[in-house]
Amino acid sequence: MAIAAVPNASPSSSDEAFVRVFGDIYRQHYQLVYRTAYSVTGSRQDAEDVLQTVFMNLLDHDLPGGLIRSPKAYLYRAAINTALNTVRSRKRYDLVDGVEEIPPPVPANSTGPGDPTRQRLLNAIAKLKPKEVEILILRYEHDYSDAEIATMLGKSRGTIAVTLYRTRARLKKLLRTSGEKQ
Amino acid sequence: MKRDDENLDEILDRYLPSAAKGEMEEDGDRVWSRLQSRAEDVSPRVVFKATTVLRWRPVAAILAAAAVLVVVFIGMRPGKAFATVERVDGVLFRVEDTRTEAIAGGQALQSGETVRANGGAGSTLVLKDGSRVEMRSKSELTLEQADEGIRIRLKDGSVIVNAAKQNSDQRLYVQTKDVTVSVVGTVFLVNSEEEGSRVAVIEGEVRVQQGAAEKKVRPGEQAMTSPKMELLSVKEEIAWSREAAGHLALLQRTAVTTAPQTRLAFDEASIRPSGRSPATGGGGRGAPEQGNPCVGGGVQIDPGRFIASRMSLYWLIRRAYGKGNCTAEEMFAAGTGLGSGLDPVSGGPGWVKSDQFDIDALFPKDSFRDVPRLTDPRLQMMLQELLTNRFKLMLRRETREVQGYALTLGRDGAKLLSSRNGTAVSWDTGYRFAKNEKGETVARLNGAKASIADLVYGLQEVTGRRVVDRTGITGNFNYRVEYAPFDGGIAAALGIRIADSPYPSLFTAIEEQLGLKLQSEKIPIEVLIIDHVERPSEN
Repeated sequence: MAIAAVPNASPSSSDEAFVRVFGDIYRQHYQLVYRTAYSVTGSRQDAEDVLQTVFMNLLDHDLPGGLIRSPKAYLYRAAINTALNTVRSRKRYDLVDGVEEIPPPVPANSTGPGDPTRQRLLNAIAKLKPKEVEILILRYEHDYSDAEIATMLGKSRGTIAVTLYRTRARLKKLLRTSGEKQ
Repeated sequence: MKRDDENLDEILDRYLPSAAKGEMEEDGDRVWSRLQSRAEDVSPRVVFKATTVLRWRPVAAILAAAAVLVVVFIGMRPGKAFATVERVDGVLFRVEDTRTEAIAGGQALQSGETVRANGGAGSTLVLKDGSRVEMRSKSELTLEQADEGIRIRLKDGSVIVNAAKQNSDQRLYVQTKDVTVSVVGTVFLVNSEEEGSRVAVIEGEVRVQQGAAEKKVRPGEQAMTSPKMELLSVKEEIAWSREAAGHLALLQRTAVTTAPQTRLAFDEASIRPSGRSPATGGGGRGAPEQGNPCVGGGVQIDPGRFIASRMSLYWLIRRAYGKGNCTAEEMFAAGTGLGSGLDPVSGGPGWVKSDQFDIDALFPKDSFRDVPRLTDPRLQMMLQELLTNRFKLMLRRETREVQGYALTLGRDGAKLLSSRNGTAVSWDTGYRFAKNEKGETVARLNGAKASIADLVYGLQEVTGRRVVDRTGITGNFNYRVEYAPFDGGIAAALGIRIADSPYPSLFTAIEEQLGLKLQSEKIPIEVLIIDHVERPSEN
């Protein structure tokens, strides 16, 4: 492979084009990635890590085709997968360490971090398939209709409705099971 | 079950974590500065490492971004305007060397300036000669005064040009990296992408020059510079435009042919009667739904092969000519004869719907890199060729007016409840029949974070007729309409008896409960008429 001479001063026109594209993509979509990650992980620190990981991956690799075709859908999927990996690896780490996490004290009527119902919900979401989480978060965090979800994910409205129905059923079951254990 | 649903909705509504805007922006800024630092850290290695040459581009870009990505708003520039920004949907940038500046609607552009549209539906420019240029999002172009007229250099993306009438010595040119389009006065699209350029004409005629070769392109026709480019119809090409409906109407008036420019055919195809028609009934797993030509054994597609099992010719025609899968109301139309005015395929003998066929066809080598979808225009062309050659199918398109409804605003305006201000009464969007405490049947039309398009879709199924949206309302809503089961449509198909009901009629309920009106209206729909068809020839 030939070694390419890389100019140190003025970047080439294709680099300039990338500057615009990358800057635009970040500005347009970082909130989608962050909000998605926050809803799945429930943690500000994790959401920031997910945001950084998703965009750092774009720097470290060639731009994937999916990103060029549909940046929003690609980054959304990347956010879901990275967030789920974060939650799942955290659980593995906790297990290996054998350290029991002591939840912080919860004020009355709180829905914030440490709230047992919120934690049950996040644990249940972590057990869903990525495709199920994709639809669930678009619906309940980003307020998308079935038709909008179908357009964004490139599926039929029927598929979205059926998947959402099944996802809700699984979520209910997971929440019931975790409620019985407590 | 209902209790469970309500509980789940409440849990999701209350406990699903939602990021605070201030924290999100703070964290977003921090991540952006880390992305820049990261680029500086890795750049010296990248310069000398052959294997990472491909990675350099983004890194260089970020380095450059740190220094040059300054977005400022500027006022109108002095001097006679070469072009004016008519409308901005999303963001329109002026690109100067390494700077980008956001431009607002109404601002002037000078010769030699480069602009880039980003986000939204794109932007529209008006040139000094009165020509209008619609830029698709992610398009970049430079406007130039050439000796012989105005030149638009399209670097990337798509534009639709509505060219003003030109003089014999002054012309409008659109130039991409590999073609030059010269115009006298017409409406056309130019698209420039990595693999090549595409020119599609909506009205009039353009001359397309590629190297020494020049050819004329007329309405409905396209010219492409590379066979690798995806084959799309002109209709699909212009779908992004805010004025797509107007362009399409123009195209339908002026197109000289709707026949595909390139003939594509399967390499080999075997067609056999499956011997399990819905009339006689199938058996076993995956058996077709009796009497419904919309349902069959299914289709398998891989990059080299198309296999359809127990599918009717009716279904094949729909897929070959882009009519899509049967919607619920069309299934009723096709299978039960109810609301037959909705059927997009008409005419032909009964076996077109009743008989089923097994098809095994091979794509020409290297036709597709990935598994094509049934909506892929190249696959559709192959199916059209198969139907023409083997079934001797002859079709014509007709626009028919069918009795339908227009959904409009009521006298006092809409009473829809935005989904942002309240909890949905139902978790899903659709229609239901239920019994009240007295055992009377009530029909319900539910919407949960539903758009007007969702409501229209539901109304079509409920009434069994076309419904068009003339409300102009956007956004998502929660609603529940309770009404007496509609006499026809899905209620009739499901055998629900319409008796005296204490509930209002659908029309009254829509007006009283949603503040909208459902008015009877003739709706134009495109129908494929079968002029001739024969049973398929032996393989």
